[in-house]
Amino acid sequence: MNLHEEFDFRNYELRSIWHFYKCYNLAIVILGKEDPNIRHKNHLWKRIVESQIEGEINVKAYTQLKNLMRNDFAVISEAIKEISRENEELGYDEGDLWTPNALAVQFMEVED
Amino acid sequence: MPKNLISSPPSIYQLYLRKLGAFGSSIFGNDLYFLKEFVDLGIQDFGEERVIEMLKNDNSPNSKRCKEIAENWDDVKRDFRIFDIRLTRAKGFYDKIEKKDFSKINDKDVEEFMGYSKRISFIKEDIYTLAIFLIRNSPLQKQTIPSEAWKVLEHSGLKKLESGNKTPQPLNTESSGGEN
Repeated sequence: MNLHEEFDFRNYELRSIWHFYKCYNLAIVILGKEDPNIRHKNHLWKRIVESQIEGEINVKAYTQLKNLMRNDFAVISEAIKEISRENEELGYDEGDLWTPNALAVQFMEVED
Repeated sequence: MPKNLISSPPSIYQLYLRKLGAFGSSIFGNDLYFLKEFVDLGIQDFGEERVIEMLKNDNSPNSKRCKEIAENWDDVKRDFRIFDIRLTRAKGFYDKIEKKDFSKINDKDVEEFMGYSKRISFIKEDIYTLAIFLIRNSPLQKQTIPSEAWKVLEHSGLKKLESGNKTPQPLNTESSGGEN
C-alpha cells in the first residue's frame, strides 16, 4: 500500500475492514459486550497491514479475520436495533439512518 | 438514560458536532483522530474530575467498562498520550492526501506513515467508550449533525450527503451489498 493507492481508493479490502470495525467498536460499546478476541483481531489487522507494506497480502490472516467478521456483523446488527429502540424512546427522528445499506444490516437474518 | 445531562454553550456544541461529523464522514483512517479530538474536548468541557466521578456512577449497558476506565484513569491517560502521538503523526500524511499534495511525499515518508498506521489498533474500546459516554450524558444525544459538518466526505470529491428525512425504501437485496 502506498499513499497514492490510499488516495485512489484502491485498497477496498483494508478500507472496508477498517470501517467495518469502526461500526463494531461503536456496537460493543453501545451494547456493553465483552469481546475476548480483541487482541487477536488487532494482531491480525497488524499482520494484514504489514503484509500490504511488503506488497503481498497475508491470505491466512485475512481469511481468519474474515471468518471473525461474520460473528461481529451480528453484533453490529444488534446495535443498530438498539439504537433504533433508544431513538424511539428519545423521540428522535433517525433521518438519514434509513438508507438501503442500513436497512440491509438491520434486517439481516442472523443464525442462532 | 441519565437524568442529569451536562449542558454546554452552543458554540461548544458546534465544535462537538463538527468533530463527530468529521469522524463519521472520513473515508480515510484519520477518523480516529477526530474522535480523539471529540473526547479531549468533552473531557475538558465536562472537567476531568467530574468525568471520573460520572464514569464511576455510570449505569449504562457499558457501565463495567466505564468503571474500569475510572479506576485506571492514569493508565488510560498515558495510553491516550501514546495513541495521540501516533494519530497526530499519521494525520499529517492524510492531510497531504486530502490536499492531493503528493510532490513532497517520498518513500521514506510512506515508510514512516505505515510505521505509525500499523501501530494504531482498529479495536480501541477506551476511546469509543468515552465518546459514547459523553454523548449519552449530554444533550448531544438529541442533536442532529448539520450537513456542513460532513466536511471530509465532500472535500474528498464524493457526492454530498442527502439531507432531510426520507421515507424508508423497499430493500433491494441485489444491489445492497458490495458498495464499499
